[in-house]
Amino acid sequence: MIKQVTIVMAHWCPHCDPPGLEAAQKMAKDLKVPVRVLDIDIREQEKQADDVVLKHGDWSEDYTIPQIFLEYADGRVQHVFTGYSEGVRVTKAKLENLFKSNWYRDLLSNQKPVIEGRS
Amino acid sequence: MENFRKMVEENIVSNAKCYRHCDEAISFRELAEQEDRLVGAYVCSGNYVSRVVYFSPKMDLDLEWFKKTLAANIPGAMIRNKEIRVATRHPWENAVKAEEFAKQNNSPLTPFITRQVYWTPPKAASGEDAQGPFVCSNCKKFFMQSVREGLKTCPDCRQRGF
Repeated sequence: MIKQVTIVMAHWCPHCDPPGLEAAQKMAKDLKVPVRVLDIDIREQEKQADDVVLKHGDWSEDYTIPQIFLEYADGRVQHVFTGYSEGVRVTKAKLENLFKSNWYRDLLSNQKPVIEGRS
Repeated sequence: MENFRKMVEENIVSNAKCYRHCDEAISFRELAEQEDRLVGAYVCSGNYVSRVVYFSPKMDLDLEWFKKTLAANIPGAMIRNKEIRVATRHPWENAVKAEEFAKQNNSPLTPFITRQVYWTPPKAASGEDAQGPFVCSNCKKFFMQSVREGLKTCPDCRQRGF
């Protein structure tokens, strides 16, 4: 069961804000879970962002943003998306594809409601 | 490999614009192909190379090989780690098409993914000496030249009258 959607992003990045951020928010809303925004320009969040990307995402010295992750109740973290260096239009199109995919349909149907205080 | 190349060309190679040198459309030109490795460049109508991309169906990427391939193909280019970025492409980003492809090809990878590595040359500066990578219209080899100069053939081909 998914407990949270996390996005690693920066507000100055046109791939992140609005497309990536809106996608993470939609995902969280559809899954009925909170969204965690890790802004790489905020010092306290930068370290967490680096940790998530290093352990579970697409790490490189100057890594690509946005990156979106699903965090499961059992501790698993799944990378689901990295922005496209080719252009914002491409990033948007791929996010639209994600929402139309069989995988996303199955993800929503497998998500059970989160019970307060239990995970 | 043929299946992988087809999947990359149909689903991941993008119709985009140069953005780094001009606002013209870019096309993808294959540079190197080996077992489980495909490398190509995005080139605009001015022959500027805005990105070189390495695709692999494996999670483990050979970044040293990629850097050597870049250095061998673009003599004089500065290859720095900070301009190399990795991305994982999942079948769901290409909607049903790639999901069906993975199923039809009985991919051993679960889930079927493509890893993509970009080398993005430093953004062309405005100074007269700003150098950038270009592809020669004649011999198709890559060469460095002043971005402002913007000639479409390499020095060797120019010397031979092209």
